[in-house]
Amino acid sequence: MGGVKKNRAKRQKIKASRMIDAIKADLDDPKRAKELRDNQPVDVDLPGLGQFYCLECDKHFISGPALEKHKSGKPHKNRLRRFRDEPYTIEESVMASGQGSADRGIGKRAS
Amino acid sequence: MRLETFALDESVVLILEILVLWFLQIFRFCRSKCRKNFEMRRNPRKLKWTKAFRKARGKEMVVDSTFDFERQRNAAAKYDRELMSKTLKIMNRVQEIRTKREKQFFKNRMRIKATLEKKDAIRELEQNIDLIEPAVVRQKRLVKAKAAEKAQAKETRMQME
Repeated sequence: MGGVKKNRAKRQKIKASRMIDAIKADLDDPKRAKELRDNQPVDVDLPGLGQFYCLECDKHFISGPALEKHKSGKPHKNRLRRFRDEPYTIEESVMASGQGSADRGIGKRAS
Repeated sequence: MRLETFALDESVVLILEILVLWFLQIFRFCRSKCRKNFEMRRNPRKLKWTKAFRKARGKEMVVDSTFDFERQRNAAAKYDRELMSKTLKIMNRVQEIRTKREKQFFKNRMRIKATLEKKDAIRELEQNIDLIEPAVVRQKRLVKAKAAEKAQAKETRMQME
């Protein structure tokens, strides 16, 4: 984990990427997920004209095989693990800091 | 990691909605460390130093009536001299009660810990007994003990006869 904090370029890249909870919301809606995966607009600035997109990792690839290779790799699988838990919410953070009431409910226990 | 929300006026929210749709959620952090970790997309529930982790793992009190006093309220209370004086008076008392309950919670948590530690120690002894007494030595000792037992049994039988 320490590598990301020291590497400035990497950190900037992560900072610019989409939020986990936003992606999770898209994944939970199958219609929207399909739309995002299949109907990406053509963008000349992106790798592969933006046509080979990994929704979970918010990454573009140059070709179909490259995308497939990424999906069989470890970084992608590690990323998938993050979507198993409920995303962290502001309500939960307020609870954690001791400023919320019991009836607001707490986050599910991370397994 | 602590995040807080702004309670925005309705009209302000509307203007913001028109300007930038994704800007409705405003995050406030308790310190830069938290902000950096947030930007690195880390889950506070998985970082051991956060309150969220400690509460999710049952290391700290989660449900307690004393927390209700610090609850965020979106409606502003009108100034009331009596209420003010009462609030000031009660603040110390609430803190006192909370620390007491936290202490008790800790005690209860640690009570389980002692039995678990003992269980762990016994298991470690059983698994790593070779460190204290090598396997060969133990085998020898067992054989010797068995032989001695046999001899004694024989002796008693002879005496009986």
